[in-house]
Amino acid sequence: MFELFFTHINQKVSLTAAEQNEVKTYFTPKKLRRKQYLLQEGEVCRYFAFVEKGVLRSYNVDHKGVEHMIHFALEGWWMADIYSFLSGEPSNYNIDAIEDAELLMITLDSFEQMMVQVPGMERYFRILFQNNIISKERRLISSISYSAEEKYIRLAESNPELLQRIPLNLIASYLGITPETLSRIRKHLSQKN
Amino acid sequence: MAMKQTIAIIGAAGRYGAEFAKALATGPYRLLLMDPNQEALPAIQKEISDSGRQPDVEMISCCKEASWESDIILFTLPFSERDHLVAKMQEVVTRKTVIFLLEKPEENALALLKKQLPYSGIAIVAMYLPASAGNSERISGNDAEATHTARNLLQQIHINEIISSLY
Repeated sequence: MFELFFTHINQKVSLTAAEQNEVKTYFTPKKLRRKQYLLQEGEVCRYFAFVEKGVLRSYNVDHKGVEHMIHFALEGWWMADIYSFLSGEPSNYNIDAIEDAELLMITLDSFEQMMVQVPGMERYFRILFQNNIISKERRLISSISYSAEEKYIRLAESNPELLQRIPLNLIASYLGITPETLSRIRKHLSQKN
Repeated sequence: MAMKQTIAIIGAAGRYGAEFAKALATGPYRLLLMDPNQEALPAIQKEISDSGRQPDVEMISCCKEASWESDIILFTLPFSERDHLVAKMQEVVTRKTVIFLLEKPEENALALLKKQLPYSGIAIVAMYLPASAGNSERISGNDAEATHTARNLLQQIHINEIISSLY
């Protein structure tokens, strides 16, 4: 149940067996079926979730009822509305499962306790959050500077698995383009190759 | 819109489990019904469906799977069936609320359960107390959130009426 979790953590920090056993006691294992919610808009995001299996998405819904994809999380990725999680404010997001999922979830209280008890985890999350800042900056640059085709190519290069597992209408929403535009881009690229 | 919590009822075909399942089906919950006597579950599910509501109720054959999918576990089986099933669910109930219904007094019940599930919030509901007993007398536990959850559930399903009807 924690295999991928510790593989992922041990790539960044080194935890002893005793520390790993301690870390396990802070996480709640939870299975979600496809389309089940981890978070609904208006609720406080109570958990920071590591995906052991499956795929999650976070999105918001505008006043016309249109969904806008914010993030996806495959195996080995983390998911939360981090602002709501840390502040205790209600979330503007929804998070649900695109595929049946197995999660390891931690509350803010447990998160804080774990950092004190296992300092290696504090270092792990510092590295995780650093990488997250870089990735968000890249996404911002991509969104304001690149053409639709460039955005798609960069996503395909950096996260090819996303394109295999996420429906294309959701990928289009994530890139901020229409499904029709995405379809045209894919057709154009396949003709070029 | 409030998130729908998932409750696993372990022993849903039993005397207490069936009554709890029927009562909780009226609330904003997704119910997973599990019982070692699987053949008895469809009748309970049908009874809930026939009541005219549109409950979110599903049968599940494995205690561990039911507990893994759930936010709250309601364990209604008697003492004789407890140990081996609790051992099966142990690794998937960390930091979850597990509510045990006791049909008769047991010495050190909380200490024993705490030993088996050291990282879960445990609440014990004394079903053997008369219907007139208050929930603070009926519920004990090792964790404030677990006892609070148990108290809320018991209030919602009118536990005193259930106990009156059973005895």
